[in-house]
Amino acid sequence: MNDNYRFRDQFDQVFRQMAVAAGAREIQYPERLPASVLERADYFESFSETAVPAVTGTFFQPAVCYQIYEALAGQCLDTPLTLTSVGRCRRNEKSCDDARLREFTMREVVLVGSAPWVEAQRRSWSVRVLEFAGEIGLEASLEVATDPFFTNEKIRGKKLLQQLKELKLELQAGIGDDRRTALASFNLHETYFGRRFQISLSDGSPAASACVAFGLERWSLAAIRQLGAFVLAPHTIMAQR
Amino acid sequence: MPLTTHGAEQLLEYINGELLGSSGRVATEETPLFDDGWINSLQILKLIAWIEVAMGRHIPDEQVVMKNFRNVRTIVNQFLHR
Repeated sequence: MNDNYRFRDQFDQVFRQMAVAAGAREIQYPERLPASVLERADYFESFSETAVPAVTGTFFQPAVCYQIYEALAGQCLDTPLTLTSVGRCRRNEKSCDDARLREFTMREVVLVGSAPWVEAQRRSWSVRVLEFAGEIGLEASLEVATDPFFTNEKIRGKKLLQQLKELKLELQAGIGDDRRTALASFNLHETYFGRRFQISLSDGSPAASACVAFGLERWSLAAIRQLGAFVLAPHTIMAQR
Repeated sequence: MPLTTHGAEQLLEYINGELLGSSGRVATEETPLFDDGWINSLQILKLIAWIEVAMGRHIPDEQVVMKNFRNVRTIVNQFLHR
């Protein structure tokens, strides 16, 4: 196994361990999902050209979290939930940026509960992951970001709201040649998915949600580009904590 | 009349009349406009367009950040009180 895959899998061990330590339940899903799930999430409205069709009526998952919301659809939550899953994802990337793979591995941690709880969790996760990057010697920074898929002028309002409300934070790191890429994103959805998938709190109000998404190949790329072959295995550092 | 007050009154009138009119909500100068779904993705475009007309210049997307748009007072101070 070459360094790229070895580091990818080791980073996944680290983030899985972080999630389990935070009380997450791990769930596994197939990499294909029904088109109806993406339609329910209104995915095609915002990211119309990025979904990759599979067999009739299904798509390859563009992110892991959609199947989690579908699994929670119609539920009333008595307590906040932390769930995690890892999977292969595909996106029809138009960019020539070699950090934007068309097929990649994503681990996600999904947080569902009241808005204050979700916001606090998102903040906590962003700090924890930034600290981890520093511990393994990666230069990285937290930045306010917007989704790069927003190319339609009709969607400009969504993009500006996302930017203004700082709904999306990214952990960005250098990958050489003065280029930076997002290793992880910390996304607040407010009650968007709660309303779309009818996930509610015990008082009947729609649940808030957030997701923390780790692009595992990008972590591997940044580690190799920044630290070279002498990088200390990330799972070893976690074990020393 | 100070420009700040004038701008705030006109902006509040626009927000409460045109943007929030059917919601039953009434904003003040201090109301956090982007908390709890007060303004949606279509309304923010209308709001920006109104401000651009009022001040006579384009607002770059990079300036659409919370420190400039938190409430009516910050919008007026940032864009209309020049």
